[in-house]
Amino acid sequence: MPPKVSKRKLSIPYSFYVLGALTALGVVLSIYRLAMGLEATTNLSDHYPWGLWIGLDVFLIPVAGAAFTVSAISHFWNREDYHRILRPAVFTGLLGYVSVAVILILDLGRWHQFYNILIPNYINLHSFLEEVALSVTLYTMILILEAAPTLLERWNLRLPIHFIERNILLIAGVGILISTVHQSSLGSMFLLVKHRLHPLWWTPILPLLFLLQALFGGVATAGVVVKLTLDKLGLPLDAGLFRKINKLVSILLALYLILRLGDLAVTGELGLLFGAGGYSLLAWGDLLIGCAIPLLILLSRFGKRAEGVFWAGIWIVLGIFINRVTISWIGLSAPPWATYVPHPVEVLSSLGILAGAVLAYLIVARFFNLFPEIEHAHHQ
Amino acid sequence: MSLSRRSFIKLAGLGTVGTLLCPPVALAAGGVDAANGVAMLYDATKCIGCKACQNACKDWNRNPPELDPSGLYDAPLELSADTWTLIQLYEGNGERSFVKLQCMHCLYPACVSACPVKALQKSPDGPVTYDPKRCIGCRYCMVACPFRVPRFKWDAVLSVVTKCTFCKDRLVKKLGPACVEACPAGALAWGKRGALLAEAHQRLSENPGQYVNYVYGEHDGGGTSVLYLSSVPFEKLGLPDLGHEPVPALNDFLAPIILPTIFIGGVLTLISARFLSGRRGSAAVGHKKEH
Ligand code: SF4
Ligand code: SF4
Repeated sequence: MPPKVSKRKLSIPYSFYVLGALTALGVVLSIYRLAMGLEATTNLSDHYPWGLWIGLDVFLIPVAGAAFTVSAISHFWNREDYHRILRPAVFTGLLGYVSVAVILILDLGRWHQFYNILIPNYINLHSFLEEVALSVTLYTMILILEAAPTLLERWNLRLPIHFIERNILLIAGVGILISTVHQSSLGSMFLLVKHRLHPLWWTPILPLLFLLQALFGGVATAGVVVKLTLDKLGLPLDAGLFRKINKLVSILLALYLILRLGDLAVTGELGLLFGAGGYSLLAWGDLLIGCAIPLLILLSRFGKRAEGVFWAGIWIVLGIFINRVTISWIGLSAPPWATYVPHPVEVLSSLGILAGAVLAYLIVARFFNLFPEIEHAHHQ
Repeated sequence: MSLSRRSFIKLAGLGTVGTLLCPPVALAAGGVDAANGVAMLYDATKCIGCKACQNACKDWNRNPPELDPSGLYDAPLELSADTWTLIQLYEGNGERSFVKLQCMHCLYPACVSACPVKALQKSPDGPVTYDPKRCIGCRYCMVACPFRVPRFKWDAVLSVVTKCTFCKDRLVKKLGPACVEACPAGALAWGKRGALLAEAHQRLSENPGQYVNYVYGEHDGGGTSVLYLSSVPFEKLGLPDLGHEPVPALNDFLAPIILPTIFIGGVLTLISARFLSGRRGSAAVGHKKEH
């Protein structure tokens, strides 16, 4: 063992076993799903062609935006304090995208030819889904490169580390561009379903709204993850950084809320916030939980502290979940007699995959160095 | 500090976010020769609801029946993986009409714009075709189709998308679509779209009062290859009011421009951000010694 690893990192906590068991269940169920087909393992139907899995993917992508947002601020806006949290942000992004890819494979009815999205003369340039699929593939590879040094340094593999560090601006830059494109393209995907998506959510500015969500959602997620990790590792929180996160997230979130309401006002759809039954309720949930409450927290005195940013982040992520699941599943109209409640295999496999991602993160946090600068300063 | 945060907001705003707000404009005319493509005309006032078309479709495509509880009748209630065309009955307000459902073979098919791998394609002669060797089973086409036509073979381990093929495999043999050839009542016709439109308008003008004065599919959703005449308002038959703009117009307009716009905007934003922040003399990052 390298001397740097302190004793607290060596014992394996109880939570690892729980997460490990869930992950194992997820693996078994995923294999079962691929072997048995969609009817045996999901409650999807011709009227609900998209359900929990697609909803989760469309939700996880902006959350995994933690990586490209922090990477942009750190590398291109030269922010030292954001650089200190770059590693946890990159791992959050990487594990998020890997989860997205695994869940997507489970959802595909013809997963055995998934690689068709890469075959040049099959590529449909009019399909925003193709753009998203290509971007997710490419960006996951970039995230592997960005994450690699943290792992490689454990074994002192200097050559690849130096290669990556020397080209980090190029690598990160391409990653940021690809992210900006596909975060917005994810929203553009739903431009095509105007006839099907509830008017409270369909708007021609969906690509812009999705990009904004990825920006404030990504930074907020990074704040949540960093706070949790630092607490767990017993490292000091940088109050100044959390104030900056507060400011950035509040501005973007306010802009998003104004655009949401403005769009409804311009199209004369504000009335739908009241008359549309369950959808009105969902929209209120979406706007209150995801926008109003976190905004109030961030503007309060409590919100200036790390705990405040943490709780605002939790609300924001919850709000993005409601919003994205509505747009990709609940808000898509179906005949009144059709129903869809996710099948246990859908639920448990998703849980297992997410548990796997959390476990992988905890392992990295425990056995590798996510905060070299902070650790360094702390131990001096 | 404040200078550079201001530049962050400004540049992010101008460079990336702002460029997304491209005006939603209709797309340029597609490459289809609408008048000469194959099409189908369904006259609901002539349809007797015998379902000969439905059965002929099953026969030709070797699709199994969907039995009713007695086990005696093929009685599908909606389009499905095994039922690619369907006769439904509308009854209400003292009005009554049959309606035939199947893929509309749109002139501007949303399913074709949606499909990531070009498994669905609009062939120049009219039919919208499906290739399972390309399909990854993402079901975006099912969500995108405004007529809810594509269905999925859920009970297979490796599913396929199913829908009416316009009997492309019969057209090459110089045969008409199986459903049209089976119709005993003259409710179905097929031929070039231009000729069928003329025929439809002639029926409207020769029998005023017998029809709703409208050919559904002439312009709806940009135009379809299946045209409808009816005595009952089309919405009641389940044919949606899509307006005249092609359904994928906004999608197809944005798709080719959004990527280059964001890339150019993004590169400029990143470079100027780096330049501006760098000049301010904040600590350089990214090349730390980490050992
Ligand atoms: S009716 Fe639906 S499946 Fe058929 S061509 Fe039009 S969009 Fe495609
Ligand atoms: S399910 Fe198949 S045909 Fe439909 S959009 Fe996806 S890849 Fe294309």
